[in-house]
Amino acid sequence: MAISIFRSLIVLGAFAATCSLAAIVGCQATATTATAGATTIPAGTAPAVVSGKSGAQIWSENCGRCHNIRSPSSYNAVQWEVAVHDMRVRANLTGEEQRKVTEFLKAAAQ
Amino acid sequence: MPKPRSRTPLRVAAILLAISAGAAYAQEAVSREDYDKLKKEVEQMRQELAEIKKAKAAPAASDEVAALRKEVADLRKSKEEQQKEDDEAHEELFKAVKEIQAKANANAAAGTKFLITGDAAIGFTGQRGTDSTFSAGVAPRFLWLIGDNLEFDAGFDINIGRDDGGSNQTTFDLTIASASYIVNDYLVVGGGLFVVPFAAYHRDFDPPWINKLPDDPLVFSDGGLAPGSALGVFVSGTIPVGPTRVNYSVYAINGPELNTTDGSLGFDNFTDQNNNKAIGGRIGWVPIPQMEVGYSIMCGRASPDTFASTNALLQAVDFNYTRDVDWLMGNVSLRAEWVFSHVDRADYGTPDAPLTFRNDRNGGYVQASYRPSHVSNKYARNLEFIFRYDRMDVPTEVSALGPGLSGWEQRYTYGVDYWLDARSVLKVAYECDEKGNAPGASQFMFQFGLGF
Repeated sequence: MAISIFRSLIVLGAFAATCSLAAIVGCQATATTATAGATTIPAGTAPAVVSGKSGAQIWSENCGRCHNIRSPSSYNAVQWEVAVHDMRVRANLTGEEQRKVTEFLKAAAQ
Repeated sequence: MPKPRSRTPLRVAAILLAISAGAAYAQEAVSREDYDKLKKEVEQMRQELAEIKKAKAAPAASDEVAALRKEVADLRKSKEEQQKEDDEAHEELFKAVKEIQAKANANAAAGTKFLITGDAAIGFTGQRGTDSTFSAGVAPRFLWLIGDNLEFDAGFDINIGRDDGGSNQTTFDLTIASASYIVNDYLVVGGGLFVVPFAAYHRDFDPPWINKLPDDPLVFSDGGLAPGSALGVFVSGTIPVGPTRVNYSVYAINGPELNTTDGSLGFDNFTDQNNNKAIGGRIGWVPIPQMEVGYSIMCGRASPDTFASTNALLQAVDFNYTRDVDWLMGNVSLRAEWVFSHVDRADYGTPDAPLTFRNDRNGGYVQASYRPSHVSNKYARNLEFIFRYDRMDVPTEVSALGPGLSGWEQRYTYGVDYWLDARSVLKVAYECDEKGNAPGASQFMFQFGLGF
């Protein structure tokens, strides 16, 4: 088992190095505008923390990392409240992110 | 003969009369000068009369205007009063509606908010060596939000197919039945039957409107190496660390169950077959919003009480990177996950024919996709091109235990998607399959995936 763990750690290290390289390279790409229905994440070196970001920006960045961004009109205000709460648990949003995204989607849904 | 009477005196008299009449007429006639003078006087009189009339009429018009003005002022005043009354009435109504709305919101906040969501898929598969077939499935989820912090989540997976005996069947699996409670901004606790945060696929990419290809990678499909749902408890959350953020999940679950005939692990351990619980967790780092790197680990006893104590250690690394790239006029997505499974050495044979082997299995996938989402053509920007390589290695000794148990399998899958909207997609893919000691099962796949 010890050999297996050692081998796994080597793989993990190589993987982390590859990912870091990808992050550095990726940060040099430029931003583009949004397209309806498509996953759209603005490029740049903006930090991942939420402070100062709008609900729309948090929504775009976090949701778009895994799937296409749904139209705010696809749910009503109450449904968005439930959906964002669920995504907080499932996709690990902070409380502040959840509140901002919920506020944005509830306003946009009306 | 009488002498005619003379008419001369009559003629003279007539002439005189005419002269006298003419004189009289001449004496009464107006001269041109008098006429003009008279005319002028008449004109002056007319003018004076008009002025008098005008002067006389003016006060009447002024009175009328004044009366009208008064009437307008009265109307305005009346209207203003009416408007004021209306405004007051509206204000009261608005206030009443607000109060009702506030009460309704308060009740809703204190009560239950409900959402039905989920996904569905309709597919067709033509696989070498087997008959082609259509398929369909639906996976509804029911979410109840109770108050602000408590959520209950129930998910089902409903599919049709054939059982091992070849009979048609409909499977109805409960995949999620969990409650979660938000303790604070950075901590959530929960329990029940939940999607295990081991690697990222089952948690993030599994639904057919998120998975860009019609099938799952080998390690995340049935008979794979990674758990899907499991019974247990968990804590999870996100913590900002400097300019980045860290996601964490820690859980205790029933754990995997060892198949004592071939050494594989199963994850439908709904009634634990031993008293040991598996412990695991995942830590994810989000250095930039477009990327997440994760490491997962899970360990615990996997053998049933009737088998020699055998522990399992599973580890996984995952990587997800998605962003728009200007010069490519579209969106690029890279996903990679690899799972390492180790089970303690054990004897899977019989007393007469013991079978032991190094029970290490691993596998994963690397997937790249490109969607030209910023080109001007509306059809082209809905296309997405996907390539995936996936592989799974199992001990070669296992292949001796059954015809379907090959030492390794790898696949190259090429797919094209057409997005109808953000949550519905048509997928076409061809998958080249290679196996270590069996013919590959390459296949053509078509799928319509929908999220609702």
